Formats: sequence, structure tokens, C-alpha cells
Amino acid sequence: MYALILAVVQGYALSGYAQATKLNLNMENSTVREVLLEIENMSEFRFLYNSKMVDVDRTVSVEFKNLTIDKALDRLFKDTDAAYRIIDRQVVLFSKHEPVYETVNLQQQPALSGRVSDAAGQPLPGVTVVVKGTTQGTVTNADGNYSLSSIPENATLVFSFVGMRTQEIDIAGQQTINIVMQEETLGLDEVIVIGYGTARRKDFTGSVSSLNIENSSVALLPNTNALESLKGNISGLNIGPTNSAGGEPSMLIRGQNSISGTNDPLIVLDGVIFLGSLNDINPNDIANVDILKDAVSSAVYGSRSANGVIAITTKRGHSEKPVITFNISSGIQTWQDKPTMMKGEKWIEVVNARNQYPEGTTSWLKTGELENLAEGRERVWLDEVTQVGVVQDYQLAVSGAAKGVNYYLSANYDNHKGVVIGDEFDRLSVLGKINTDITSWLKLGVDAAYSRRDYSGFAANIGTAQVMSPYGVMYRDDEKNLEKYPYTQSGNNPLWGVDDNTRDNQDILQSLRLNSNLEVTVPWIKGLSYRINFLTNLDQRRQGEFYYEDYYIAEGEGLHRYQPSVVVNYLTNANGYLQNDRTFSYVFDNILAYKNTFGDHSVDVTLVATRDYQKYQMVNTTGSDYSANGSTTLGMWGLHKATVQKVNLDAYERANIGYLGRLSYSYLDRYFLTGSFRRDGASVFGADNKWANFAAAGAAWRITNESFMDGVASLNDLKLKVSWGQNGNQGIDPYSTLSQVANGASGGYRYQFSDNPGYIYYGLVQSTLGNYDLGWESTESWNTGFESAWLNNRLFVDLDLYFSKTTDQIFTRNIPVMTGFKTITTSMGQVNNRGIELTLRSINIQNSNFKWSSQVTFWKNQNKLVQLYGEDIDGDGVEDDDIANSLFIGKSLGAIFGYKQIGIVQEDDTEYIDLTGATPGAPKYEDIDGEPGITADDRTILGYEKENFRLNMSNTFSYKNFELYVLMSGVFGGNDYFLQPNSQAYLTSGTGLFNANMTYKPYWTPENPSNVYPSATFSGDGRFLGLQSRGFLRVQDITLSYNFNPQWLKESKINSFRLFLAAKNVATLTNWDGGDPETGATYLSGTFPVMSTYSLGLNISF
Amino acid sequence: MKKIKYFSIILLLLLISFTGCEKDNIFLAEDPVTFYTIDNAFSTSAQVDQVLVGIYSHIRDLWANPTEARWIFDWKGKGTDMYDVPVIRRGNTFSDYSNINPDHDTFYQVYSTWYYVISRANLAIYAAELPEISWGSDEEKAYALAQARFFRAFAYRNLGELFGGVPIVTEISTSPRYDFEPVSRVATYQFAIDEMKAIENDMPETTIAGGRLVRGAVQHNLAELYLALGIQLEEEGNSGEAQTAYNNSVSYANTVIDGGLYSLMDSRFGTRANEQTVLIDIYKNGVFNETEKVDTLQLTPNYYWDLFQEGNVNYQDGNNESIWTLQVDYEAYRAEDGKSKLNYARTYGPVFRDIAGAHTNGTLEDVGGRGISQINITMYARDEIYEGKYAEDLRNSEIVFRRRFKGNVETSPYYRQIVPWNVMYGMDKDAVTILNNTSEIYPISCKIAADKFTGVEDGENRSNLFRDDYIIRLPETILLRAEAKQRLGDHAGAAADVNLLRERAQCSYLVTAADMDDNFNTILDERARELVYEECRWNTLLRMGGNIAVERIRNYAHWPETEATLNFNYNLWPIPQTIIDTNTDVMIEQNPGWQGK
Repeated sequence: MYALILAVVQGYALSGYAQATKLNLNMENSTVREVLLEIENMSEFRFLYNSKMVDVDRTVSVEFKNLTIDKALDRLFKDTDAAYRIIDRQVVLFSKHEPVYETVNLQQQPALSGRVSDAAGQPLPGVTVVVKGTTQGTVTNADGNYSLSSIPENATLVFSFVGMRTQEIDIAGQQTINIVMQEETLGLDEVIVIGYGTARRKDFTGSVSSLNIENSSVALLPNTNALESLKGNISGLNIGPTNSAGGEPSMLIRGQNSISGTNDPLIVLDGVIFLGSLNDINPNDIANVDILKDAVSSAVYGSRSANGVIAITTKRGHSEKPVITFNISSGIQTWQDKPTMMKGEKWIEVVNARNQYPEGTTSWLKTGELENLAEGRERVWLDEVTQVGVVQDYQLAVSGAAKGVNYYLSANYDNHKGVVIGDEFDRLSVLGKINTDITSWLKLGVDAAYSRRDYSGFAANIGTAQVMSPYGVMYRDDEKNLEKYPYTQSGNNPLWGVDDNTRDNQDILQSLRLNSNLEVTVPWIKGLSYRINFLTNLDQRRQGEFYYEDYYIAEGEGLHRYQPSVVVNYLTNANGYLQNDRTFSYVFDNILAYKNTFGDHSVDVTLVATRDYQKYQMVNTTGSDYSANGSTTLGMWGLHKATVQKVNLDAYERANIGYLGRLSYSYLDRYFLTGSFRRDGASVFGADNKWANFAAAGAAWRITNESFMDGVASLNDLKLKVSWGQNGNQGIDPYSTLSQVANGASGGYRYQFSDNPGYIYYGLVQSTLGNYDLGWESTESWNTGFESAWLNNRLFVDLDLYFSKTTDQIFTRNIPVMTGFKTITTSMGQVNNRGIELTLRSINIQNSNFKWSSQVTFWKNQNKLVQLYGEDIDGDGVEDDDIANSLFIGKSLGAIFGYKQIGIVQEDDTEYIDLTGATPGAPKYEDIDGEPGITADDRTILGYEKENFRLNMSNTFSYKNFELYVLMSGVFGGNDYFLQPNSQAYLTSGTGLFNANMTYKPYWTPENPSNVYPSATFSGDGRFLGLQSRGFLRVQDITLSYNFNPQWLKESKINSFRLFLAAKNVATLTNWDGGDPETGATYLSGTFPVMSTYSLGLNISF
Repeated sequence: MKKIKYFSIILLLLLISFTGCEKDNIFLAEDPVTFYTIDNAFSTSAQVDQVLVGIYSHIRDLWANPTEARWIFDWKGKGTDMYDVPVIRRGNTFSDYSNINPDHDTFYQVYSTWYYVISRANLAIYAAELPEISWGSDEEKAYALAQARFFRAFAYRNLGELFGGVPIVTEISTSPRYDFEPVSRVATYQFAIDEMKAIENDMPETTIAGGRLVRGAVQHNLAELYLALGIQLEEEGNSGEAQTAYNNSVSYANTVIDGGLYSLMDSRFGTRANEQTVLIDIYKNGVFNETEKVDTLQLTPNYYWDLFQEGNVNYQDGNNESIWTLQVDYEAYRAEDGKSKLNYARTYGPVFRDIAGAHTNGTLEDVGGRGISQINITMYARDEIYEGKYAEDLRNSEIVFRRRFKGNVETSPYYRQIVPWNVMYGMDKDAVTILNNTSEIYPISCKIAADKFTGVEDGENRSNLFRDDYIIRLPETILLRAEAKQRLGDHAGAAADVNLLRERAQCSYLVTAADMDDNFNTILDERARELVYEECRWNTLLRMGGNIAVERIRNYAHWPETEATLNFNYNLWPIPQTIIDTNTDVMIEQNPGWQGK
């Protein structure tokens, strides 16, 4: 331990916060330490002191009534030798008797100086700078500057600041050392969202992973969706790919619990359940994200939390001075590993082989194709339908924290033009947040957000582009007007209807969110507060399409098909629709919280009553046949002129009620306990099964706070934790328990009888078999693990192990069709999940100019189907599998059941051919059961679609003002995991079109007895799967940024100026054939590619 | 202590304001506003009829296959002796037995579709008896019930013919069951027979609403059911009861054939009775443009052709051999019923432009419209059955089964002349090419194409016919009776029945008792001539038992892989594996021939 020597360079006034915050505290016979702790608990003040200089074990009794911090400290330290400095929210305590002030000296001859800023380039005042191993040091001033003199050349400086990672820098003879402090994500004082409140990470017993996005490298990535930033950074959280402009990725926490119900985590935005779309949240507005993974963390959300909770916190104001931030980035997108379809000559060869036409046959080509063939004109259709995509993103934000008010206002505009022509997206979003302290006991907050997303337009058809004839005719005339049928068997030109005004599309989503909260700090009971959240969300989607008469150009040849006199007849075909979807929802939380400390005991009690409600209404109107009207000039807004007009309606409501109690207790900062109980009701279940109870408990032990651990110098912090809890899943749609009926015009069953010509009779059909017993799917789980910091806080190791069982699975079960129905939604069975999650973070190198830090995340989840229907028909004493649904007891979900392929049938496999009737060139299967021939008993589990494990590594390198961030991310198969059928990678036939183009495969022929690729004529036998592993390793994200810091910037009042390059999805290493392995796209599937993005941007703040 | 008191009071107040169990349950109650549930769907008799409408609609989907479901083509006869796939659809084959096994989706779909019919019929029967339903008259209710029970029995007949014995379900299901117990094939037929007999007299003899079920449909089904029952009894060695069944079959067929209501049409009738010639325009290069019209093909109509013209198919149209039809209505099609069409020109039509495009190009009437040949007709069904003394036949007449095509391609040596088949088939080429070519082009039946397509001026593209279609036509009843008579040993009677059709078709050759062979080839050939594109050939072949189906398939399939892979015998389709897998509480046995496939 060393003594602090504080050199205060200049005077200061109390900051807005310190002036505005009034302390009320009444403690008897407490230590000074406890008083300080309590002030930290009730305010944002943080104390920094050395207990050898300041006696904090002194027992005092204090009674503060509406005191500002300085007055309170004056009283607390009256008649002692302790002094203090208040810098914004940070309070430094020191001894009056220590030799400190060297101000004059420093100003005269600074030997070493520098500037300390945060990651965004904002100056950081109040950072402690100490020469390691000495008592010499200083604190940065309001501009973040510091200076020191008489420093040994080989000394090491230690920079520390609450909430930031401590940095040690070797001086190595330098005279200027500028430092960027990084947020301490594993900091012990880090506040995490735990549902209906927050907790300090060090006090919490559950498993919560967090990512501070604000000012981090990942924030520079051109992500449209907030969750894309989390990809690879949070162990246990799988974020899926996005492959369209403005697309939303899938997400999965800790594996698949539910067989058929939803596995989507619950989203909590600024403390309130979020019922809207994640794409309405602008990623630039997000400060940090907490992922609540284990039961004790998420159980407070009861019925919704079985799949984990993602809690998003948006940005807020930080400094009294308003900060204006402007971010701009722009980039390009490309299709990585675009498949190469066959060139014309190869295509003709393959079509002939596939159809057993004589070699060289071209009689099946159309006139236009033959012309192109003769003249050697070929078209690469995939190139025709794709382009270099463009992404643009602009954001302007203002934030500040004035007296009693904290505000954040942001406006954002994004525009994407995807790689596939016509795949477009733009978004405008606005967010305003204001929190005010009305009185010392009443706080009011209002957030309002508006977002408008526009997905209008048709994207080109990349499915057709892949199969289209290489000799197909693109244009019908010399004026580059498209030919509708280029020609591969009635396939439309993949660009038909994209930009040619033969059809229109609009798809606009608007969202309005208003979240208001009121918090009463009950004045006469210390620590008691009552909070109301009321959030309303209104989403509106306006969709429409219109197909004009000229969309319906007839198939054939010749320009006469496009003549107005011909096209006018197709007015009968012209049609369109307009649809309005409106979803209104509200969440109403009543939260009563009590937080207090009694000596060594701290308690935190939360009681919640909450209900939420969602109402969806859809109105769809269609119009068709404009022959009587004679024109379609009005497009989709002329539906009411159509001869046939129809209305379709849909609506649902869903409602939830929850009652929650939670108690957290800690003793001596070493022992922590949390327990919660929630009772939940949900409308979606059968009348007798709407309610369920969920309990959870957790314990943690900060072992490093025990005296016996003092000797372990390399270990800075270690917390052991264990938790248990129950969560629910209500992942079924409203009305799923009811036997629904389809009838009337919307029912889809129509008929006519001859006595009533033109009259349409509507049928009535029961469309689903209801199940009134359908109830909660519940998950019970255990979590244990530790969080630790080593080697002077340069290595952090977090490990979690979990086990969960989900019972009363809600799933779609195949049932005997003799009931009249093929499937039913039912709840039964059990799935167990277990897994391991490891996060390693290290600061590998750290000196004044260069810093290298790394993070490795690894997670592996295994699930096992334990029980299904409890039936043992075959009487072998083991529960029967449900083969029809590919559910196998004792095995993982996602089992692939079928015939094991062992190559290709060769001409000399006569025995096999005789037994099975197979032809040479067909896939050959293994005879497992010993019965002659391939029988149903030869089916076996071939593997699992589920992945084996994920491993990611990120590295951040900082050199002077440069910062480079690289994330590698991998999803791994192995042991027959992460397999998927991929017959398109092997088949030459079987596309359904005799002359479809495709990628070339060296198909089996007697001369080329391949053991991998079937013959050109083999088109599938109901057994062939072509399993492949989707495992891959990918350079996921790269960002490179540079912080400008010259003098002229300061003079022009620019706080920070940062330029950056970012790249996403740079390269992928995989054995999967087809599209992107992460989407599992196959050739010809028409799945859009996962794009590679390269962007350039800058951040400026004033 | 004071604090705790405060605390407790606030806590209590808050909790009281939050809770209230009754209110909570009202908040959580579900009340769908845009659809009905089974509990509130029925309040009037019209709604019971809507259930029946749903079944009529379902049956039309099965017969006309407007959505072009592959399994429906399979069920309608692909892979039998009569139909196969063209070269461009070999991936959709239903005759390559290395791919056909109990996992084949077609079997599950067909099995399921009949249980959908059964379940909907059970729903109609359940709803008809609900106390809140008031009926206009007893007859109205009896007719509604009769239609429902007909559909149910009709479904069991189909299941019995294709799959053998199946579980009998007569109640609606309110919860899933896994213990369905199949009954024997005989019991399955017997159930259908009992049902049909029970409703026979509740069915009107005729109705003004073409498409609605009438008594003749019941009697025809009874004739078929008794015949099927007899065959199965005979297979099981019970020839005594089989004879009774055959006699019943004859007797029900007699009621239909000789009852006075129905008779074979043997003179011109209907909407086009006055047309003495039919001209098909030939456009240069197959391009539809008034200025390109270069020639015509002249055809002579006859009364057999009249049977398949728009406005002529229903009994109500004056067509006396029409017993039960499905309804197609162009106005309804334009309005909102996209399934009200016969897409036969498209799905059954040949593709001259692919194979013989050098001579006959395009998609106009001269090549039968815009065919894509989802299934073809085998050489057997197009040529062999007319060979020798069978050629002269109205059903093989130019206008009914058109074999003459004029070249429309300007560069063709056959431009504006009839193109010989050996040229179109490319008979001078290698065997594989010939097989490919013959698979994709074939004569065009007037049952699947038209000389004038409705709706072309509205943008229709000669894919669809807009006429009603037969589900039951009197000749099939006659052929059922012929078969029953032959099985009773009355070969002369059987020949006489076949000759009813041959005489009507003005055939030069009439069959004799000696022609009635033990393999029923004469009857099956006559069915092929009379009922091509009409009968459900799989039902016929599998109903007949023995190895009739497999032998004929081996003989007449178009592609060599059928004979190569059909190395086992079967006379029932396999029970779909999914049915066996889902019916967990009762083991359903696989049908003979399919074990280990």
C-alpha cells in the first residue's frame, strides 16, 4: 500500500450533481466506512481513499437532512485530519498532514504531462495518477490534463478511476503520456440490470454477462440491429445471421429448451419488458446490454424468462455541459463466396445427361436461346441480379446532465441497398429521454421513441437467377426492356417486376413508444421507494402490393405479346392489396423496493405487481379484375375500383399478470443471498392452466474478502456462486388451445352448384384440434461458477456451469390422422440442457503507447430429450421414441434420422442391386438390421442439426491514437453435430425443371464411378440427404479507429474527433457447399447471402 | 418498530390495489373476435350445409387437382398401366420402385385426405344433431345427413380399395387418440355398404343443383362396393358369400342402368349440337396473332365429343349418363375461387414445342393448349388398346382423340401439312431418344383440351378448361356390372354390357363371351378406352386383387426402371409409415409385399 500525494492544480466548484444531490442519512454507531458505503448506495458518489491515511473504522453517529455532499463530509470528518476533494461524482479522501501540494513546482517545470480521456475522446477529470511504488501522484483537472515533475525515467505510472480499468504505463523516458481509459466491464462496482431494479455486479449471485457498447469498438460496426453487436462477445448467447437489408437475427441463450415453443429470449428495454421489434431500437442509442442467463437472474420475469433475458439500457447524459455527437458511416456490401453456376456449354452437357438426351442435343432450346448460343452470348444471371450494396448511417445526439435533469436526444437515419437488387431498407428513428428530480423524494422520467422503417420494393429473385438458362434472353428489344420469359420453363426473368413498374410494393413500419415512470423515495422510511413504470407501444405496419396488367405478359415469343392492345386484356388479372397491421401494447409495473444496511447486513427487497397486454388488429383489403374499370392508373390506391373486392380481418389479444417478491441479502461484503418468488398468469393457456408459480434462489461468496485469502497476491478477486430457479415459457400463439374453425370467404373452402351460376358457397372446416389442457412449459435450472480477477487485474476468468430441465414441453406432435388432424399442440415430455460457458479476458501488453487486450469466449450446450409421452408400446422397458417427429429419448434435439449413406451403388454391386432394386449411380445405404434389403429398420440417427460448441476470440490493439479490434468467431460441429441435409451439393437432377442450371458436380457415370456424387438422372429417393457439416470459422468483425487530438480541434471546441474503418464478415472458412454455413443455405434455395460489409465513418462530439 | 408498521401498511395497501383474483381472470380470458371455434360455429342448418360444401370442395380438389399436388397425380393413376411421367418429369416418377416405399409421401397424403373427408363428414353429422339447429323440414335434415354419410362411406370405399382394412371412425375427435384399431378390408367395405344402404332413400333421385349428390351415386357406389367386397371374400376363400356380393353388385348396377333415369347418350346434344364442323386455326410459328393465321384443321364433331363440352356435363344439362359431377364456374373463378377450373390442358397436355418444336410449336389450340405434361398416357392407353379390330371407335375419332397435327413452323417440311408421328417421335433416332420423345408428346383427348379456350381474352393462357367434370358417369356403372357378371361366371352378360359401350361408340367390333378373359383385360381395356382421364385407375387395379396391378404395371410402364425395380408383388398400397409410427398404442401391420421396403 502506498500513500497518496495529491497535487491539486486548480480550484473547482461543486458540480451540478453534487449541488443537486441532497443526502438524507441517519445512522447510529456505524463506522465511517459504512457511512461512505451507504452514501454510495443512495447516490452516484464514489469514494476513493487509502485506509491507512484516513481512519474509516472510526465509529460515528450521523444524521444528515437534505445536506449536499460537501456539508455532509464536513460533518463526518469534523475534528479529524481527513480532507476531501469532490470531482463530479468522485470524492477523494486524504490526510491533511501528508505532504501534498506541489502546485507551484509543477506549473513551473513540468517534466511529464498528458491528457486522460475516455474511449469516446471525452476528457476525464479526477483520474488519479500515481507513480507506482511511491507516494507521489496527482489528479487530472477538468480538461483531463495532468502533469508531474521529478519522475524517475524508468518509473511506472498507475492511472485509476472508478468504473474504469486501472492502467499501468511505463514512462520509458517519455514526456507526454496520453491515456484512454477503458470502461471496466468486469468492474466490481459495475451496475447490472437484474429485472425491476439494478444491482452491483459484486453483490449479485446470478449469471449475467454484460457488454458496454457505448464508445466501444463494436459500436463502430455498421449493424442495423442492436443485437448483432453482441455476436461472439457474450458466452452462451447465439446470435444468428442477417441476410437481408434491415433483417432481424435470431437469438438463443443457453441452447434449445423448448421443442416447438419459442426459444427467443425476453427483451427488456430500460427496465421494462419490450413488446416491439428490436429493429425499432437504434443500435447507436444503446449504452450497454446485460444478458441474464441463469434462473435466479431471470426468474423475476417468471413466465417469459425460460429462454433468458436480454436487458438493453439506452444512453443517458453524462456531463453538465451538453455534448453534441455526430456519427456518420458509410460502406459497401458484397456477396462473399457467390456460387458459380454452370457456363452454357457445361449446362447443355448436364441437361442432356440429366434427361438422358443424346449428347449435344439442343432441340430443347428456345429460338432466342439458340440465337444466343450461335452467337456465343452468355449471361451470368447471378451477376445480373446483384450489385455492390451500400449502407449509410447518420446519427445526431445531444445529451447532458444539468441540475436535476438528465437528458438524451438522438435522431438517426440509416439507408441500405442490399447486394440483391431491390433489397432495400431505410430507417428513421428518434429517441428522447428525460429524467428529472422533481423534489428530493420524487423523480419523473419520460422516454419517447419513434421509428419508421421502410422495406418497400421487390428484391430480384436469386432463386430463379440460379436456375436460369445461360443463353436466356434478358431484353426483348434494343431499348433494354426486359423479356419476361428469358427461358427456363416459364421461369420469370429474375428482374421482372423489380424496377420495371409492372408491380408496386410498399412495406412501412412505424413504431411509437412512450415510457413514463415515477419514483417516490418514501421520505420517512429510509431505503423505501415506490416506482411505477407505464409503457405503451404502438406499432403500425402498412403493406401493399399491386400487380399491373403488364405484369401478366403471356409466355411465348415475339414482341406482339407486349402490345398495348394485347396487354389491355390482362386488366382482368390486375390485382393488389392493402394491409394495415396495428399492434398496441402496454406494460404496467408497480415496484416497491426497500434497500437498507444494518451494520454488516444489507438487504434489498423488491415487490412487483405487473400486467401487460397486447392487442393486434389486421385489416386487409384486396381488389382484382380491372377490366370493367378499364385502367389501373391508381395502382394500389385504386382497389375500390376493382370488380372484385374483399376484406380480411385478423385480431388477437394476449395478456399477462405477474406478482413478484425478491429478497437480496449480503453480509460483510462476502456472503450474498438472493431469493425470489413469482406467480404468473397468461391468457394463452387453457382456462384451468393459466396460473403458475416460479421460485429462485442464489448464493455467492466473495472468497477474496476473507482474511485467509490475503496471502494470495496474484488473485485480486474471486466470487463463487450457485443458483437454482424455475422459469416458464408461454411460447404459443393466442387461441392455440381452442378448436378453430375456418369458414366464410376467408376460410378458403369454396364451391358452386349449377342452379346458382356464379354464386360462391363457402365451406366450414374445423382447422385445428384444440387442447384445453395446454399449460406452462417450465424450466428448472442450476447454475454454478465463479468470477475472478488475477495478476493485478490483468486477467479475468469467468466460468459458468449450468444444468436445466424443461418439463411439460409445448410442441406440435404428429398424431394419427384418423382423428382428422395430422398434428396437435400438446404439452408433455422433458428436455435437459447442460453447458459450460467460459470467458477469458486479458490485458497482454500495456504501456504508454501500446496496449493489447484479448477476450476469448467459449460455450458448449448439450441437450437431451429425457421424456416424451411416457409410452412403452414395444415393451422393452425403455420409453419409445417418436420417430415420426424425430424425437429420440436420451438423445439431443435436432436428431437427423434416416438411412446411412455409404457411397454410391456401383455396377458391380450386384447383390445390393438385386436386394434393393437400386440402379447403379444411386446412393447406397448401409444395411444395419441384417434383414436383406434396405428396410425401415435400417434407419438410424445420423447426427444432429445442433452445433457442438462455439469459440470466439477478439483482440484489441491500441497504439497511440489508433485502435484495432478483430473478432474471430467460430461455430463448430464434430461428433456428428451441426449437420444438415444438403442434397443440392450432390445432385445433378431433382430440381423439378429438366433444364435448370445449377453448380456443376462430377456426377456418377459408368466411366466416372464416383462414390460421392450420384448419377445425373438420380433425383432423390426419399432417403438421400447429402449430410454436410455447417461448421465454420469466420473473421467476423474488424474495426480500426483513430482519435484525432491536435490543438486546433480543442480551439474549435471539438471534444473528440474519431475516424474509423469497420468490416463485417470478412472471410469464412467452411466445408459447407452452397450458401452461407450460418444460414445453412443450399444452392438454388434462393436464400439471400450473408453480406460482407466494409465501411468508413467518423464520430465528432462538441 | 414504527418504521416497520409504516412499511407494512404501505405494503398491504399496494398489494390490495394490485390483486383481485376475479379481475385477473377476466383480464386473462381469451375471446377470439375474428374466427369461430367449434363451440360457437353452429347455430343454423345453413352452417351444417357449409360443412358439406367444404367436403364437395375437397372432392373437387382431389379430382381436378387445381394446385397440381404431385401426390394427387400419383393417386389419379400415375404409375399404373395407363399413365407415367414424361422425360421432363422423371424426378416425379411414381413407377421407380427403388424410391417407392412406406415412407413415400403420396401414401401418407392419400391416406390422410380420406380421413379429412371422414372427419368433416363426422362433424356434419354431429352438427346436424345439435339441439340448437332448426331444420326447415325433415327431408332437408335427412338429405344433409345422407350427404355426410355418403362422403364418409365414399372415403372408406377409397381407403379399402387402396390400403385394405383401416380403422373405422364415426365420431368427431375432441382430443387426440393413439389407439386406432384397423378392421379387416371386408369390414371396411361392409361399413361403407351399410352406410350407403342406410341413406339410399334419403337421397333425392334428382336435384336442380348440379353437383349435389343423388341416389344414383349411392347405388353406383354400392355396385362398386359389393363388387370389391366379393373380390376380397373370394381372395379369402369365401366364394359363397362372394357370389351373394356379386349378385348385389349387379342388382344395384341394374337399378342405375335400367332404372329409367339414366341412359347412354347416343345422339348429338347440348350447347354445340348444331355445329357440323369444328375448325382449329393454325398460326404461323405458333404465334397467336390475327395476321399470322395461315391455315385451319377441320374436325367433325360427334355426340361422344358433346359429352365433354362446356355446359353439357351435368344431368341438368340434359346429359342422361351424368350421375355425379364436380362443378366449375368461370365467373366464380374470376371472382375469387381460383380452384374452380380444370387445369387439364396444362397438366395432362403434351409438350409438342419441346419435342417436335421444329414442326409444331407454341401453346395454341392446334397443339392442345399450354401443356406441361405433369403426367402422360402410356403407349398402352394411347395406341395399343385401339390396335387391330378396336381402331374404329368414336372414342378414337379425330375430334375425341386427336392424332393429326399440322405443322405450323414455316421452316418445317411439314408446314401446313399433317406431321407424321414417326417424324415427331423421331423414330429414326436411337432408342433412348425415342423413349424420351414418346413420353412427352401424345394424342390429345377432348377430355383435356378444347378447340376454343374460355378466358383467353381475359388473359387466360390455354391452360384451363372451364367445364364441369364427371366423378361418376354411367359407363363406369356398366363396366362395374360387366365385371360383376363375369365374376359370377356370366361371360355373355359381361360381354353384352361391354357391348353397350361399344355399340354406343359405333365400334365395328363387338366383344363376345370368349373375349372375356380371366385377367379382365377386356374390361380393363374398355375402361381405358371409355374412362381415360376419368377413372381412378389405382382404385380399379388394386380393388381387383391378385397380381393384376403389378403385372399390368410391369407390362405397360413407359420407363425401363419400372420393370427393373418392381421385383416384388403387391395388391395393396403400403400403410404409410407415419400412420404406423403415430398410432403408438396399437400396432398396425404393414401390408403384404411392403415389409422391408
